[in-house]
Amino acid sequence: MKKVLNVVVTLCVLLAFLGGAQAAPKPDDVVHYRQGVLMALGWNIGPMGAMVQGKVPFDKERFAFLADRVAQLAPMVVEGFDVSTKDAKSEARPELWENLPDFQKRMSDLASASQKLAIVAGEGDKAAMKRQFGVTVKMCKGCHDEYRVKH
Amino acid sequence: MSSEKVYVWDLWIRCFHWLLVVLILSAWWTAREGGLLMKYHMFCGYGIGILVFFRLFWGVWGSQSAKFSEFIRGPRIVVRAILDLKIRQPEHYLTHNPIGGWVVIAFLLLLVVQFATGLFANDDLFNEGPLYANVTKLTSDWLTWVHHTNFNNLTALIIIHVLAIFFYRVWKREHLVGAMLSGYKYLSDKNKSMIRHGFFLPFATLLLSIAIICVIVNFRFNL
Repeated sequence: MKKVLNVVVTLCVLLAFLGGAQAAPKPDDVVHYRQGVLMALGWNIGPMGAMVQGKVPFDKERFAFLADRVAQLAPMVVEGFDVSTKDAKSEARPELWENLPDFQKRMSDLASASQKLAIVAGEGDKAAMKRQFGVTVKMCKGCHDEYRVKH
Repeated sequence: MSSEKVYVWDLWIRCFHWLLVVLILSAWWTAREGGLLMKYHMFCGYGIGILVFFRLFWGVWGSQSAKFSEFIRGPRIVVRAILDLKIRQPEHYLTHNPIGGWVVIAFLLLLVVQFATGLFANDDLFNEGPLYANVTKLTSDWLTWVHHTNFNNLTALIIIHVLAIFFYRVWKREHLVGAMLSGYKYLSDKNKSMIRHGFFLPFATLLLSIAIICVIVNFRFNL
């Protein structure tokens, strides 16, 4: 009986630690998270841009596959822009935190635009894909211009 | 003093000037819109590169009024020209005045920097300058920063340029815009024509500039 109790207590303590670690990620980790998601977005958008610009042949299936990934990734970005990261080392400009509601609105616009891109890509109309791709990347640029340190 | 109509700016210089205006405005607008329009931004950039090289060559062997040796003056003459700004009467320069001459050089310098850095720039989405592959991402980011920052310098110089034209129009009663459109200035003394005629030399210069831009744009360091 005592042995069982020991195991249970130990498990509880372990779980408490794990739970605690999950509840409050360090600001630096949050920054790494969002940078990772943004990097993954860029990873997928790059080849789509090359297709749209005619640098490589337009492959509708591959485009749709990448568009699906973008639609999955885009809504994940905003979680990484938590106020806890306000003072962490990153490329976010202070204006972002001053206009957080605007930024969040832009992020949800990006999520809808990329969802629409995935739907359009599934339908297979090349002209529509290019058009919606243009709309989507313009939203990327919007926040880069407003809220990211100038490169 | 009777004023005489003198042909000062040849067709090539006038085309250079107004095409540059159109291309800078287009480059600015396409960059502001970004995304898919960056393709056209790059076309504007190549166009500006061709114009700048053409101007550099034309400043060496072109029409007299376009020659650097004709309008690049030493500090003493420049200071005098600055002091003469207060005199309210038209100046009688057959080419750029000593201040304007240095502004031409400043413009060409800024444009060369703008063109050169743009070749390596990236927009962190899917647009990259034609020579991006030759440098690391870090270098490209830095050159992109220079590209963006230098555009502010260019904008400042354009504002100064336009204000100066306005100043000469209002204060000195000189129609410099008209001269850049028609090629003629009204000058009050006997003057020689400054224009180098012919078609072959300017045309060859233009082709040379286009060839240089084509080579630069397709250059790979690791060949």
